[in-house]
Amino acid sequence: MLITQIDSGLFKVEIPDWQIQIFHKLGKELKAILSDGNSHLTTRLFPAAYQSDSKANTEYELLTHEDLRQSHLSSIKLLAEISTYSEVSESTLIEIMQGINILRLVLGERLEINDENNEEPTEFREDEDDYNLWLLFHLLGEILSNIIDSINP
Amino acid sequence: MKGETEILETFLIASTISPDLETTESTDIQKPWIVIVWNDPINLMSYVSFVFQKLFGYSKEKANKLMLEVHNNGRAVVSQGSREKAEFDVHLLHKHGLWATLQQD
Repeated sequence: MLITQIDSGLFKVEIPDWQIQIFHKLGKELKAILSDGNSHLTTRLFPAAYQSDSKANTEYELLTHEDLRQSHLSSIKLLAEISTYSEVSESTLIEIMQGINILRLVLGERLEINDENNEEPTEFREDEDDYNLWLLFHLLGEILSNIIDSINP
Repeated sequence: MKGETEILETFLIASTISPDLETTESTDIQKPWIVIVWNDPINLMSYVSFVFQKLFGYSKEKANKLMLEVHNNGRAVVSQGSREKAEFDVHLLHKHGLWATLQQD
């Protein structure tokens, strides 16, 4: 994905077809997971706000959970529609970044990435599915980094 | 971002009708609530810094300093204030995929 600032607060987005297809596929899968609402893969998308007060946390979740879920769905939807945009505002670009980051969080949970194993995919053979997911995880990181560099040089 | 004003209003309304919250605030009125961002192995350091700049209006230098504090110390206090403001900030951070909690200082 290539992001070029063309005006104050306006950015040109160029994205190859294969990346659009990745966003479509992952977005569709994540939408299903978010709609289901019971997957452990979304743990990182709904962190507890109160660590040591379960009552307060329950009350907080009652107020915010659905809004947070809708925000995630909105970001994913925007990402899936990215091919329809040639120019976007900074706020739209930030929401696209949120969508990419959400995909990374879910992939990271799926790959069980932690502080000890986030450097190299030494545990995977190249013919394993997880190896491809690992590559995808890092590709999304590269795309996210590129957007940040474009918007915040 | 959609819904942020509505959510803040909901927090404010909840704070006026919750007896528990009223009691807590009257007895601990001097103690501010702090928002903590925790280190995690997935979010990019550059993304975390960017979110701090956009959500809190911090300079790049301050945002980078806080991001490095999260990375090196495992956590950093990124904002503080009333309970409602802290809950609102945590909600925004969660929308951006960051691991944030609040507690009374």
